[in-house]
Amino acid sequence: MLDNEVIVFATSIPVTTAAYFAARWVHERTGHTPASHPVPVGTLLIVSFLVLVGMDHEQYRAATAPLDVCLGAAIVFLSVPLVNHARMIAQNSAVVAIAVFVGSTASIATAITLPVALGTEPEIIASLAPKSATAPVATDIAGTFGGVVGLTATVAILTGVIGGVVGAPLLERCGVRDPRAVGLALGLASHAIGTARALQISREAGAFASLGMVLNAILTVALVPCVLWLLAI
Amino acid sequence: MILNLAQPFALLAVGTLISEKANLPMPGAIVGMLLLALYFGATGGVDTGSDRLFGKLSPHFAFLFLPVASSVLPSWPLVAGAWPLVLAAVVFGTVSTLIVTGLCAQSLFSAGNHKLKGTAQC
Repeated sequence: MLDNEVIVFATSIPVTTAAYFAARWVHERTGHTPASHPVPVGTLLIVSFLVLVGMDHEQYRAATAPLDVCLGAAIVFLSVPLVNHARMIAQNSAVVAIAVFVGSTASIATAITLPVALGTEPEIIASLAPKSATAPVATDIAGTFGGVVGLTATVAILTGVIGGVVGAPLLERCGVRDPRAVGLALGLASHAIGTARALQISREAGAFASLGMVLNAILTVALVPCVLWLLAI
Repeated sequence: MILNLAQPFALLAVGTLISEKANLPMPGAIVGMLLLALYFGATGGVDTGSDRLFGKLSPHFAFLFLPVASSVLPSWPLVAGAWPLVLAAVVFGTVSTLIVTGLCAQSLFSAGNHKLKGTAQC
């Protein structure tokens, strides 16, 4: 069991950095296949490291807190592609509004369809409903409506990873090739992880992904309470 | 360069402060993002330094998600009891949302393009 605080603090960020570069190497070596995306591969490497050396996850998260601040700043910085494409976004505002409303409604409806059909506990349904919103928004909504916050956080991360990995090839297979539509779908369905993936496609896709992420967060705050009220949860 | 790097951190702090003090349902990062967009809008667009910095940093944003994604580890006992249902709901929900949003947006964008072409021909 590795519980020396100094060692945990001294190794956590270097280990995370090493896991990221190893994951990138794997992604490049495997021809950028979706399954080898750096987020799931890097996460797997970090989780394996924590389990192998017996490092406490809470201590690891405390030691990597500076990276969380950088993640927050990175999300703030997503306003760069948004502003660079402001004119194009304004020209397509009606399309964006309709697509985001349809997408947000679909994200909530499809997340709870199976659990509702199977008569699952209301806590699980409340935990799953806001899963496509960015994690801080999703956990806040789930906490307010009796969901399990830890489960919502996990589900939101899984949603991001799944969308980041399968999103682009899935949309390509469905014939969705317009970078604006691809970006909007990735940002809406998979928040910041999907937005980071969209930025790898093009700045245009990244701009629409940022917009999709923000508008979906706002709509999720408004729609989830209505849906849970309709279901009497 | 340092000033360009400091901007998102400063607006993250301001956004978090506003979000907490005004009890907003939005996280500080989203509020900060909107504030930075407003700042860029008010100053005539994104400056070259910020644009160049964003271009250099954005390919590595995935790195910042790794510690957050590792939080699946302590939450696993919560998921473990109901994992087939949770996993099925997450996969089905995410895939359906991607397809529905992507197809809806693409058809609306192409309808808009046709309309624009039609207007131009007129």
